Amino acid sequence: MLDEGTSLKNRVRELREAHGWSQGALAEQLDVSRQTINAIETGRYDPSLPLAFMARLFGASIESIFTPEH
Amino acid sequence: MGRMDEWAVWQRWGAWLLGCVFYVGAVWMLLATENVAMRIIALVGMCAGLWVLTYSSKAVLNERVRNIDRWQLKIILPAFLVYMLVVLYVMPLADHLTMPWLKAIVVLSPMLPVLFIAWAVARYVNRCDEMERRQHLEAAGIAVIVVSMVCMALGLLAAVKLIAVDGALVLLMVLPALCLVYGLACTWSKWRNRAR
Repeated sequence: MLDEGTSLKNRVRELREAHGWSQGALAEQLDVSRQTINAIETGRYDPSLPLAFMARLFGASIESIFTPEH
Repeated sequence: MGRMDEWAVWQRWGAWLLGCVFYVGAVWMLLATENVAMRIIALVGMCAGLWVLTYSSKAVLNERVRNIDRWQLKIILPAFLVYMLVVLYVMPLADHLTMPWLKAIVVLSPMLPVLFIAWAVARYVNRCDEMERRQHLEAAGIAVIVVSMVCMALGLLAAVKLIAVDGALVLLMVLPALCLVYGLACTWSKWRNRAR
């Protein structure tokens, strides 16, 4: 269970770069702004469940990309 | 030409500066002349400036223009044009009217395009992605706090007659002040995430 104040660390940047996509290209595929991708990658924003399903684009599960950080 | 967010940095900032010059020049022209044709040209110039500023502002933040941005421009620019025409040519008619109900209708006529713009902004925010909606919520919260605090401070000072406040002017300035602080807060929030 997540404690209050627990944030998520993620592998979005790593997976995006592995696929050779720019932030803008990933943002276009997800129909969000590039800044949203940037904020997720830098940990400034934790996405909601629907957006976290971006994991499908990488062929991975949500929990393999987003993990709790204490 | 390609997409503006793919231009070189100096080109994007150049376009943004051009938009500013166009807009400020058009506002100056509008204030300086009473000639109808010149005013129409100035209004078209203001709209063109806003169009360039919308595209270039996105580009300097390394952001592409999306369909919702194009939709917003298509809706807001004509509404803005109608608002300006009403303010310039319909509202002054109120001075020559004596019937209170007719005078009220004429004076309140700019509210229609303003309400339309408010609806368009609400719809735009609703179509933004989840992080952008949070940015808009934070900006709206900051705007409400700042403007209400300033109004309260002015009210307290006016209550003990330390300053004289024109009530009508203060009421008229609430919406522009909210928009200004909201815009600044939104820009600050987006600027923080501009890096690629």
